[in-house]
Formats: sequence, C-alpha cells, structure tokens
Amino acid sequence: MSVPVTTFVFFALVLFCAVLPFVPALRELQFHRDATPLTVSRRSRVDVRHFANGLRDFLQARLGWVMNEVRQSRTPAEGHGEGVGSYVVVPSGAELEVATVEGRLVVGTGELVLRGAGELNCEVYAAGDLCFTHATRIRAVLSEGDLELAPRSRILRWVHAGHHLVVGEETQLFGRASADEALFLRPGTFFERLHAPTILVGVAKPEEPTHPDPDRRLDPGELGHNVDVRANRVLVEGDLQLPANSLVECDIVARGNLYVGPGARVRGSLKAHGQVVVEEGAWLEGAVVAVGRIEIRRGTYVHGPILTEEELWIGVDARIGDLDRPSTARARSIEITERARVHGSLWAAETGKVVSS
Amino acid sequence: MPYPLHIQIQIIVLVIVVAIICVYLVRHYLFTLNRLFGRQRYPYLDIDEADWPFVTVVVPCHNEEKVISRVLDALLDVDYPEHRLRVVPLDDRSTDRTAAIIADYSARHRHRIFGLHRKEGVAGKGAALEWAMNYIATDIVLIFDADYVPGIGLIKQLVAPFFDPEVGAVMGRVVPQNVHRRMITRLIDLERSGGYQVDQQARMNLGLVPQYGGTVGGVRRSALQSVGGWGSDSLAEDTDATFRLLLGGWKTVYQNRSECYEEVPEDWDARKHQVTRWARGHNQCLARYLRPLWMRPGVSWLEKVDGSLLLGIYAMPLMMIVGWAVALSLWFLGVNKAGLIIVLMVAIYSTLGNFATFYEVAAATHLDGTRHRARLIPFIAVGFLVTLFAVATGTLAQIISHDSRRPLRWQRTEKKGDGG
Repeated sequence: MSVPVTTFVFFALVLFCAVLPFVPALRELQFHRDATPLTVSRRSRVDVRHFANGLRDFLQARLGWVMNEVRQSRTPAEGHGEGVGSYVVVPSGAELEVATVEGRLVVGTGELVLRGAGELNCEVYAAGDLCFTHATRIRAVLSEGDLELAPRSRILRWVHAGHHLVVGEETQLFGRASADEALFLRPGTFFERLHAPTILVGVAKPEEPTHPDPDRRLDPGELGHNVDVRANRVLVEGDLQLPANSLVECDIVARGNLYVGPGARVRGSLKAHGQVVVEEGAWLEGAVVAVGRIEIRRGTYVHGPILTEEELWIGVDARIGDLDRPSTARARSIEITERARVHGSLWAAETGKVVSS
Repeated sequence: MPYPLHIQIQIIVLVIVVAIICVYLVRHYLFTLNRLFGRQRYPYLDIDEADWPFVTVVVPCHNEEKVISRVLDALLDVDYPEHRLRVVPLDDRSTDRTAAIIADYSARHRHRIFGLHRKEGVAGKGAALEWAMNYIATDIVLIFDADYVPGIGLIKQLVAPFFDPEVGAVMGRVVPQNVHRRMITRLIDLERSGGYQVDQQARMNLGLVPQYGGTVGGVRRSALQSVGGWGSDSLAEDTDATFRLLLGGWKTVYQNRSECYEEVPEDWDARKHQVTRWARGHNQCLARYLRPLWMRPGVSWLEKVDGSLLLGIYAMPLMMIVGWAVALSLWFLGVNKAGLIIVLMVAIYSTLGNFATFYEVAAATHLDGTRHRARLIPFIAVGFLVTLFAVATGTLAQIISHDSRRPLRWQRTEKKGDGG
C-alpha cells in the first residue's frame, strides 16, 4: 500500500473512532430517552410502614370486593387474579393449615390462625389478630391487630402489626419488623430493622433506670489538659474518662476512647473516635456517637440517638429514648440483652441479636 | 549539552504541571473506585426517630419573585415537627415583588414563616446570612437557595447529622430538575452526578473533606460563630465556612441520599458566569486557607492533602492552559521531551473536566441507575472547554486585578421558575 493511501486510511480510522461515540450521544440528544430528573423521593427507606401500607392499599384495590363478600357471607373464597396470583380469602376466626395455603396470598378478613409448620412464599394479611402456632417461613406479614410469631419462625421481607408484635425465641427477622404499639422480642432472635413505640426484650419486666444524683459538676476545663473548649463543645485529644457520679453540661468529642463512669450524668452529646463505654446507672441526655464499639451497660438511660459504624451492645435494664420522645440506635451489628428497652428504632446494618442476660 | 535557561524553566514548569495533574488523576480514580467497590458510609441516614431539635431554615433571596413561592410551599409541606421548625425567607434588597410575596406568606403562616427584609449593609449572600444570624435563635440553621425544592423528608435527613457533636456543617445532594430542556442542562446534570454521587460521597467514605455547598445543607450556628461567622467579605461563603470549620475541629458531612431539586442554567452565558463566580470564590479560599490547613494540628494528613486538592481545583484550568502552552512551545523549540508531553496529554485527557471527569460521570450514571444518559458523555468535552476558559479567564483576572478587594454584590443565576 502506498504512503498516501496508508495515511488516508489511518486518518479515516482515527476520525471514525473519534466520531463513533457521538452517534449514540446524538441519538440520545434527539430522542430524550433518559432526560427525566432523577427520583429523589426515598419514602420506602424513611417510612418503616411503607411496605405495609403498600400491601394494604394493594389488597383494597385488587381484592376489596372479595374481602367484602367474604365478610358478609362468612364463607372462604379462592381464586387467581391478574397481578395478585393465587389467593385465598377467609372470614374472621378462620384457622388454616399452612400446608394447604403454601404459594398463595392469604387474606383474613378478621382474626386468623395459621397452624402447622411450612413455607408461605406470598404475603399474609389479617384484618384482625394473627397467630402462627408453629415455626413458619413467611415472605411478609401484615396484621391490623396483634401478631404472634411462633419460635424459630423466619420472616424474609417485613412484618408489621397494628398493635403488638410478639416474636418467639430464635426467630429470624430479615428486613423490617414493626408494630404500632409494642414489639416483644425473645432471646435468640435475629433482626435487622426494628421499629415500635416500645421494643421490649425478654419476658421479665425491666427495672427503670434511676435518675442519678451527681456528687459534683465538672467544668469543661476540668476534663483534661489538652482540651479545646468552644461552642459548648469540649474537644479532647486522646482518651477521656468521666468520673463516677459527676455532672457534665456540654458536648464532648474525644479523639480516643471515652469512658463514662457509673452514675455520671451528661447534659449534652458524646462522641469518640475510638470506643464508648457507658457504665452502670449513667444518665445521658444527648446522643452517643462512636467510630468504634459502643457499650451501654446495665441500668443506663440514653435520650438521644446512638450511632456507630461498628458494634453496639445494650445491657440489662438499659433504656433508649422515651415513649413520648422516641430515639434511634443504629450500628453495624447490635446485641441487645434481656430486659433492655428501646423506644423508637433499632437498626442493625448487618446483624442484630437478642441475647440472654 | 544543557538547554538555555528559558527552556530549562519551561521544562521545570511542565514537570510541575504534569505532576500536579497526575495527582488529580489519581484522586479521581481513587474516588471512582471507592464508589464502585469500597465501603459506603451513610451513618446518619437511618435516624428516623429522635427528639428533633429546633431548626431554622433560611432562604436567602434577591429578586426571586419567580421561584420564592415554590420553595416556601415545599417547606410548609415537610414532615419536620411543625413547632420546631421556623422558615425565614431572607429578602436582601429585592427590587421586584419578592418582598411582597414574602410578606404575604408571613401573614398567612404567622407561626411558621418569619420574613426578614434587609435594606442596607454590605451586599452578598455571606453578608446577608451574617446579618440574619442576629434574628435567629436556633443552633441548627439550614439554608436553601430560592430555586430549590426540598422534599418532604429532607429537613429531618439534614438535621440528623447534627446529633453528632463533631459535625459543624451538612451538605445534601443537588439534583437538576430542568434536565430535559437543552443540551447544557443535560450536561450539567451529568457533571452534578459525578460531583455529588462520586466525588462528595467518596470523600465522605474515606473520611476526607466533603464540601458544604451553601445550599441544601446547613450549619451549627455556634460552631460557625466560634470560627468567625459567615465571613461577609468572602466571595464563596460556603467553601470559606467549610475550611474554617475544618480548621476549628469541626466536620462537614455529606448526605448523598438527601437529595433536593434545583434549576440549573439553561444558556452557556449564564453557566459561564456561574462557574467564573465559583472559581473566584474558591481561589480566594485557596489563598486564605492553604497555609493554615498545613499548619493546623489536629487536622489529619489525609484531610490536609484532600483539602489542598479541593482548594486548588479551580486553579487547575489555568494550570492546564499553561501546561499546553509550554508543551507547544517546547515542541516548536525542538526540545525532545515528547514522552513528557504524551504523559501530559494523557493526564489531561483522563482528568478532563476536573469537576466531573468522564469516568466519574460514567460511574455516577451507573450508580444512579440511568444508563442512557451516559451516552451523552462525549459532549462533556464541550462543557469542559467552556468551563476551562471561563475559570481560566476569571482566575487570571483575579490575579491581575486583585478583585477580592472589590465591593461585594449579589451574584445570581437567572431562573425560569417553571420547574422545568
């Protein structure tokens, strides 16, 4: 091949390669296939009842008339609907064998009992109380009343109860578990995201954390030698130990570990770049944040959110949040002990576990 | 035989330019790889229940009659506890109907909207905010520009990080709403995606220096006041606040999933002015904070490096032009440094855009799940060239005229107000 031809071919190839990416670009400019603004609503993430509300609305829209008929006639109905799949609708007070409804959407128009072990790969809904008598593997459950899960049950997506949700021992709650009134957990339960005005662990009634009466008030300047005090916040290089029965009235950030002594009271928020240990009977009126592990020991009270990207351990009789002012505890993994109580949300990004005291 | 002095100087300049550009190249790759394969941090996003603090949302505005109603309506609709939220539209010497619209809203929502009207004093958003702080009682102050539309849950999401006592400022993600309008809006949409979805979130993941952007975010007032307030003499009060807070031992948090719609410029001239304005403010911060950043104990090495690169980002276009000029000069002078020139070219190609480079944008569209818009990436070169020359001329003018001493005035981008 001659030099001019080679040169021409080379430049033609270069031009082709340069122009090629503009072909899909020009088509996209012309046809606007992807020119809508990004979706910014994340209600599904923020609203813990998002899926429960979605199922309720879905059933009302698709099976509302069937449910009304079953309510009036008090006879079960079965069928197959477009977008619904195979379903069974039963009147209030019905008792069903799980084995007979596997693979079907189960709808109870009132109270419902599901007997026997098995797998339910579709949603289960009850307009009243709902009880599973044996360990069952369920995709998602919504009860408008009380909901009881038998020991060693397994929820794959979400579960919501309109009143109380009682979870048997060694149950696995993947996804969300929530109740509009209270959620009762038993030892051995695995969880990811819990939400209820009151989350109680174990069967025994927890003792109320006692309001400590501190011996002395510490000024921010007394918290160490190398401290930076500004904007009502004390910044400490290294570890910090708050003495037992002391009172501190400021926010604290420690660039090491932070240890809150027994009976100490803090009117502010705490943060440590290392670990935080809150000793027995401490009373914290702000948030607790740590880069490392957080330990909330026996009988402590934390008013604000608790956040760590590592482990969180919540001890016996500890209380997080209040009934009228709920809070959030969030960690990579959480261990919560019997008789601990949380008002609000408990989020384990990876694993949450209920342990015996 | 050694080269003459003027050639030696040019070679040194070229080596420095190439070295700096390569640092940015590595930075962009690191950020992108982190977003694609690294551990993602959203530590505050899960706070859905809390004893929410009292909050003031300030909406600074100057001649915003087309958009002010929209943002006020959106703020009235949020799910934040009503008795703990105050909305303060801050009218700074508007000459259109902005003041009247604010007065009307204040009258209709007496316990929720409290309009402020500023008639005198130094102009500019920083000065206006500094003045407004005298009338604000809450410690948490969120700021939304008038052309933004916050969603229902956004206020809680932006307040949540302030439960951490080390957090001084919070920044959410800006999402263009008028995307489909023109090619420029689509290109800005891509740049924004790269800048927020990849750059800002990677900084958050890696514990570096996320930037407070002046809107869709907020500050802890006591923290900001402890480091000198809003800085009414600053050309970019947001970047200024980011670095003063960092030097004062406070952190800025970026919340990638706290998104808010904005209206982006629809013509190149407006875009050019916007970028030039940002460049001037950023470069002012570079001159002010580069040295203190390195001298300050308590700021980590990683923060120092990332903070310096962040400060220098608007100096890069001028540096690239210098690099090109020197490379061409050396070429025509017959200096055999082709290898170096090739490295420079590859580096410039790879870091193209500086703000939202090709691969960052591609990663961002992938993360956003919007693959068709990635097809427009070749056109980013157009946006890049406009940005390059706007920033370079602005920077050059700033160096020559020392224009940071000029009196400040309100700099705003014209909006349509029809929501796209």
